[in-house]
Amino acid sequence: MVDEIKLIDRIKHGDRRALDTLVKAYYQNVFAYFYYHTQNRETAMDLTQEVFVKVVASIETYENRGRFRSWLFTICANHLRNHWKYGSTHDEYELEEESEEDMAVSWQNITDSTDLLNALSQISTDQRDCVILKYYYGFTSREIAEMLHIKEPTVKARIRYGLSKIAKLLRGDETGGKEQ
Amino acid sequence: MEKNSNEDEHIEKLFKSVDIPQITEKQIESVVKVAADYLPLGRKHMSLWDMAILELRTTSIFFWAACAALMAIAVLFISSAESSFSAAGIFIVVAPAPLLFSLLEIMTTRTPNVIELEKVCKYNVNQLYVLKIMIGTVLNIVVLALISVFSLHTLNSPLQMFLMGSTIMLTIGFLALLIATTLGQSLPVMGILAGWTIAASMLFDNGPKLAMALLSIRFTPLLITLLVSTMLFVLTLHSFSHKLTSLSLGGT
Repeated sequence: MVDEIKLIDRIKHGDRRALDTLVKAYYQNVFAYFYYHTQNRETAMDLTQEVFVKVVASIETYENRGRFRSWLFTICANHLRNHWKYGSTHDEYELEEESEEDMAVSWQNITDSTDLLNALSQISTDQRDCVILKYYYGFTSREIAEMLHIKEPTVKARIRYGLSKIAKLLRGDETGGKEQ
Repeated sequence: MEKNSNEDEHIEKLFKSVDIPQITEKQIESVVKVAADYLPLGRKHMSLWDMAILELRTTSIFFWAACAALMAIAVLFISSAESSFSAAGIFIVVAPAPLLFSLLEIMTTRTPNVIELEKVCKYNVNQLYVLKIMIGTVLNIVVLALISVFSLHTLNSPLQMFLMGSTIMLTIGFLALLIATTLGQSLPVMGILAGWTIAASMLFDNGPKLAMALLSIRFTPLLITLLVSTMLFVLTLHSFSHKLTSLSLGGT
């Protein structure tokens, strides 16, 4: 495990080798985040590069409070929002009202992740962000709430709705209701 | 720390089994190479003056047009005003407009990702936005001074009017920054601009006593009010610049 505080201190002093270590340590993680969202290798690579440029440019403002990883993914989440907002078009799905009964979908019988990316693309960006940050990166709801500047119950609700919809899609219970 | 249920662990496993393309070391190194250009010591050093010039260059043409039009209209109206009282009214109404224009310009034109990246990467974003607002403030003072000079024959006491205009500009600027910092949106700032124009016009149209009282404030209390409003403005400017950083970059 890299000593992040020392590494970041060295980057703050302009150490290129420290930067090399940091980028190599986190590149695949950041890339996966954007790949999950965009499902396009080239776009994910471009976004990853832009995020690392932002990280280096703003490294002096990082105050070693809290985990670097949380700070990094806050930048990723903001960058992704900017990307959707100004950079490209994407389909947005409305949050559907579902009863607790509708949402009680068991995941235990779902073992194949082949269609997971496709199912993820059919839920809203906000839900997808919360679900990915929790289940791929292991952030807690509280950490996600801080990163996305939203309340913890909102994160939990987004995860619940998102998971319910993904599970239904994976089981073939619904087609996803994609808006045209 | 959240406890994970069996189902959560199952979902986690499922997510981690998704096939994410692997990126080669060479491609990652090219990212390091690009990012290294932005290492703190490698950044281009710029003097405050150079930064101010850069900011002036990147200010939109609409901002300059709006300021020029405002100044021309104000001078025209003040010159043709029936009384010094009406002239003062016009002066007070337009006083905070250039600063609010500048704030609106900052909040509405900092959107495209490329511009944001360019600015964030090369220079300290806090300094940039504080500088932009300071330019707006200085420009507002210049506009007020020019209106005062061009309207010397109509305005009763140009120096007092200038101080009054500056105080109003800083107070309204303080309110606008406070709202912008809290809400992070440009619409309420437009609301302040519109609200001030309407309120000040009504004050001078319908409440001459109150307006006259405002205009008869003596030099020393006016100077004290100016100092207080300057302090409030500087403090909110400081928190506004930090809010902008957290909005654009997050978590810092």
